[in-house]
Amino acid sequence: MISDDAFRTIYNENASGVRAFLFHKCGPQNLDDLVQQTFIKVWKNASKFESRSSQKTWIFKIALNVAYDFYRKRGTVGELFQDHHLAAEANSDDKIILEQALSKLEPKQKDLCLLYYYEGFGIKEISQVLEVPEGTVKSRLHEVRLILKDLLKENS
Amino acid sequence: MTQSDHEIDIALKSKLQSSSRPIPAAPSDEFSRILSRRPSRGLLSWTQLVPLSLGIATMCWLLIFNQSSNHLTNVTESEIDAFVLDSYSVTFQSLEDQELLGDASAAYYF
Repeated sequence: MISDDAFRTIYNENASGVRAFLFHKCGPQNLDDLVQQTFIKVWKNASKFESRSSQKTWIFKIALNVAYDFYRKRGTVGELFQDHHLAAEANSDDKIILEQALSKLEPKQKDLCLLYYYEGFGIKEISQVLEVPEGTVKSRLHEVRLILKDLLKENS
Repeated sequence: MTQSDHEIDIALKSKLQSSSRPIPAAPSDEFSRILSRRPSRGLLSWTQLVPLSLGIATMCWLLIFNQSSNHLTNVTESEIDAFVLDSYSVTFQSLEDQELLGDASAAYYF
């Protein structure tokens, strides 16, 4: 177990990132609860953290598992970038294009898209969060670019 | 990453981020809520306690059952006969001591 002070430091450094990640992954409903669940798991498992990855990627891996549990309990497949995600006031053409483009992606590609384009993670960090080799991340990213590039070209 | 990949990344980042809804602000007391939701240290929850109790009870039952069945299977017929005869003799000795039975009645009962 870690001290409350050390836990507060971890929370202060990662709360906003985790919140943004879970918002993009699961939407605004249950967001507070999901963030709290993530940090409770961080606190419970802090002694098991072995520094094989950075603390940030370890925490995001926990947040991703919390999101998967959330969808499992609801009995639905995690769908990123649904209505909750795209702003109502956003340019309607952009929204349609993005919805079309993102609907073409598989769940694993969407997770990657979220970590890479929204959270600004690098290849190595994504491979640690998703627990896949860096080569797999690169090939998935290549597939995502091909899909999205074609769709964006068609619509531009 | 090629120049083209880099350009796609920039275009996508820009489009995705500009179309995203603002993230709702965290409650001001979020950290204290997390602290209050943490499970208490050193105590077992019901979900841990119930299977643990069942496990211990099963182990005890198996241990007792195993010992008693071992004891029964190791007893020979002659030991059982000796036990029965001993019981009778003790009973008759007790009755004789209390002068409740004479030799004849003892023979009758035996």
